[in-house]
Amino acid sequence: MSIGRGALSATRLISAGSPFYIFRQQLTGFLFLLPALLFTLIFLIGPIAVAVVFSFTSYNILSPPEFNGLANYVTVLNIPAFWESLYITAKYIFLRLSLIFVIAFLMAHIVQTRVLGAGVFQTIYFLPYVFPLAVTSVVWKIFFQPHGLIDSLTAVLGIPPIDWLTHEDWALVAILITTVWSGVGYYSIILLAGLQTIPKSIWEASVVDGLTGRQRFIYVTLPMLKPTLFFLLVVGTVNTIQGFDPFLVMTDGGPGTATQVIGLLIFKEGVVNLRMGIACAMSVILLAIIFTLTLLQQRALRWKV
Amino acid sequence: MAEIVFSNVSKQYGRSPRVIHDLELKIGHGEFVVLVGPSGCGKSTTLRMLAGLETITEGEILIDGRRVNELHPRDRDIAMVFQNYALYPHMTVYQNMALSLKVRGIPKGEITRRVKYAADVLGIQELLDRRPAELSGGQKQRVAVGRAIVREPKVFLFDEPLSNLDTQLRVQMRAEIGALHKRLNATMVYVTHDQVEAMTLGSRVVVMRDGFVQQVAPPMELFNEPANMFVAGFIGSPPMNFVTGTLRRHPSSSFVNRDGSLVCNVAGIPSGREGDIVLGIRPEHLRLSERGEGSFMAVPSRIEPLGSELLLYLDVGPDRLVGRVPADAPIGDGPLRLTCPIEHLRFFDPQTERRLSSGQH
Amino acid sequence: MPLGRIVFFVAAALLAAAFVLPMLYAVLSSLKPIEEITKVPLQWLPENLDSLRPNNYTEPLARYKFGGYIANSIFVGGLVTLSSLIFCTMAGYSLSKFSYFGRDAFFMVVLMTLMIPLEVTFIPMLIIVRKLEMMNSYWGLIIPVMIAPFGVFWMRQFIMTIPNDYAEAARIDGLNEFQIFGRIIFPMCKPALGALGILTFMSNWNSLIWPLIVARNRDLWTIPVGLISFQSEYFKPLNFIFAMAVVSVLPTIFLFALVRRRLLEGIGMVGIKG
Repeated sequence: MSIGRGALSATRLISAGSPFYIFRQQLTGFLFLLPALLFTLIFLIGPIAVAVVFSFTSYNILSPPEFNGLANYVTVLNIPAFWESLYITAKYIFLRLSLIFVIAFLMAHIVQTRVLGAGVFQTIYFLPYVFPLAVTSVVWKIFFQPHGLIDSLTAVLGIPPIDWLTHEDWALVAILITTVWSGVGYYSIILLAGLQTIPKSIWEASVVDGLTGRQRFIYVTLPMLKPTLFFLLVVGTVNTIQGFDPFLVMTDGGPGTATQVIGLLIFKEGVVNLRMGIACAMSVILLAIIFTLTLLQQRALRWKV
Repeated sequence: MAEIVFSNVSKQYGRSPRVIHDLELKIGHGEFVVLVGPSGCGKSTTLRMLAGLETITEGEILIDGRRVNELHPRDRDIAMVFQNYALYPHMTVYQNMALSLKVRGIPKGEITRRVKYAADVLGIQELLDRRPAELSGGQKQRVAVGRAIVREPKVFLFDEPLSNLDTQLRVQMRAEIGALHKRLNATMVYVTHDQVEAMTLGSRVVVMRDGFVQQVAPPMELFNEPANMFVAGFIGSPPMNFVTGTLRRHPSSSFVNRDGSLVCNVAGIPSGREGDIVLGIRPEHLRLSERGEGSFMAVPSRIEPLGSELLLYLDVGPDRLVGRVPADAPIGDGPLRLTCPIEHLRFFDPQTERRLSSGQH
Repeated sequence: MPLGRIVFFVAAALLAAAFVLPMLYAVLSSLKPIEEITKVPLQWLPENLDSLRPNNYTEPLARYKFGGYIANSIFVGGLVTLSSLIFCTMAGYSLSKFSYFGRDAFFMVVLMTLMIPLEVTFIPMLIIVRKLEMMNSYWGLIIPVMIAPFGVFWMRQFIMTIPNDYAEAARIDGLNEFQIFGRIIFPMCKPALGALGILTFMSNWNSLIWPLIVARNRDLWTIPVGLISFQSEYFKPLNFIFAMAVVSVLPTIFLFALVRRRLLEGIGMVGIKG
């Protein structure tokens, strides 16, 4: 994210008198930081260090860890399920963000044109975002059961019933529908804010210039929204990786391994199978991937925006 | 009441150039001293060093003979009124004024007495239960002053306290602060960039520029006997006119500008000076004249009526002057004949910009 | 009304229906006996008023300890929120108004940890928490999530906007550094604290994975953990699930309603400023 550089400008030290006073002032500042510093060391940096260290051991909680070199990494890279889970995760992120962009844009546009009850609509779209994702998942799992709510709604449109959660392809779709429903309102608000930063005079100028609605979207709206879209891409990726609640709740990775995203795989290896070394190796690889992607994104951000 | 001494005080941030140079200043008991100058002149830094909010790089500051360089602000027995008032937004007016006393462990009864007294002095008795957000600018200003009064400090510091108020309120609050000084008879140090404030409030005024003190003097002396061109130009509005020229003896002792279009009689001012010299004359001292001798012609390029007076923008050969004359002055369309009364002429060295005392002409 | 606006209104209403209908159905189902919920074809309304089951709401509280889960969620969420507010504000104050060695480096670390997802850290966290013997305890539920890096960032940015004059005035008024923080800075952070507090509480109320890992003992379960435990029942009590889902959602709706305007504006601002 671009919050880094601008935010770092230092404020002046307020102080009086001797070097001792300055030292005391610095000490005071440090004392205020201390709880957060300790917490950061133990629970934010600590886990990364622990993950790296334990990724070189075999550890199942019951017996003490034993050093086994790169064995875990070799194992992980040879597990087809690992590669598959990365692929599923990537596919899921891509599909979810695509869907969200389209729908959120529509929503933002609707609210911006100030149709009757725009404020109410905005609140309705946003509401699911504040629900616990686990709860949403539990409830939608029921909706997707055979003869459930979803089947009855699609029947109105003439679509035959679908084995949502037990079919290899449809299971991911069902989860996508659930998580898009739950999150899209958040993105529409950010998009709306972006749209509202475009000066009205630019829209009017484009009308005078004779652009059609679609041309205006392509030549005016999208380019001017670029910073917002980039921000959404970054935040959206992080948020989408972040939660595997729906996978755990709705399909548990199934049918087979059709919806086993990386977070769920790590969860199963570590928490269920107690293969901590393997789980840590997976965590480290995932961290490396995320780190690389973040760097790439920052590069792209610097170039394009 | 207290006596303050700045002895050889300098200020430097890190390795950047000094912002205060060898400041020497003595402020007596009960004095009202105003630090004035354009922004960046070091006046606020000087005040903040006195308050203990900035370190002192070199030299020392004494309050009542005691070195305070290393003292925490709380131990200097000073109170300060900030430009944006810095009223704690979550506390009522009463709590704002009482806080400093409370943390010093002063008994409740005494706190109430002092806050009541300050509220009476400032006429804010009905505001004591309000919060800063519910106050107007002038009211906030009063509370900020009240917070200082309850402390009964040795020294009051004011950091541009009126600059966030509109003109009308500013004039009113200016008068109130002046009255307050009379009533409390306390030592006050006041920072402003507004020369009118400086002139009306200060028993002495310190004019600063680029970290150097230009002149320390009572207001009228500053106006009448400016030490240099900067002070002469800074004090007074519109500012003093400056004309570069030379002094000549023949046919009579007079000052002449570069092309001879401006002539002033300087008879009686002893002059042994060769070369260029700068003449300073204030707009209100230019006189319309009928006589020919010692006078010169000026073409008004613009006339601004101010109600009781007229501002004249005048072209005299290569020089431009501003004149201020009564509104009923006889001014036609054509050029005007003007004189500069000899007692109001001031002369400056064009190189050093210092004022030349009579003997040096 | 011009045609374009009608089209927009219809689109808006259709979209809204996709959001409202599932919620409505869930609420209605939470009042029905289980036979009516599973009936084929699906029906929306309860068959008659007599078949309404208000005890869908009361029974889980008694039979499945749901009261305890709610209490746990409130207790854990409340403590995490409280400590987060205090420590994040302290850290934010330190990072914005003091200078000392390593300050900016630490802030960079905070920013970086913002980008690291739970997926990477929860297994090593589990190892650390076991080592600290906090498993299966309130400590384990609270301490590892006590301070959010986002909160530190948020409070730092807010406190940077408070002019130094306030702390200076307080210093001259004679307050010591801890009084300046406690009596001046912290109370002045109220606007930022309100939003941060609600966000922190909500995210805790909503979290599933961490409580699921730490709380093996039923007495420590929070609402989401309790709710998904219904799934492992042989005969799924759908009526209870719906009722408890509604219960678990109510506080978040209430909090959202409290700060709706500011929250929506805040999210938008974050988006624009990036």
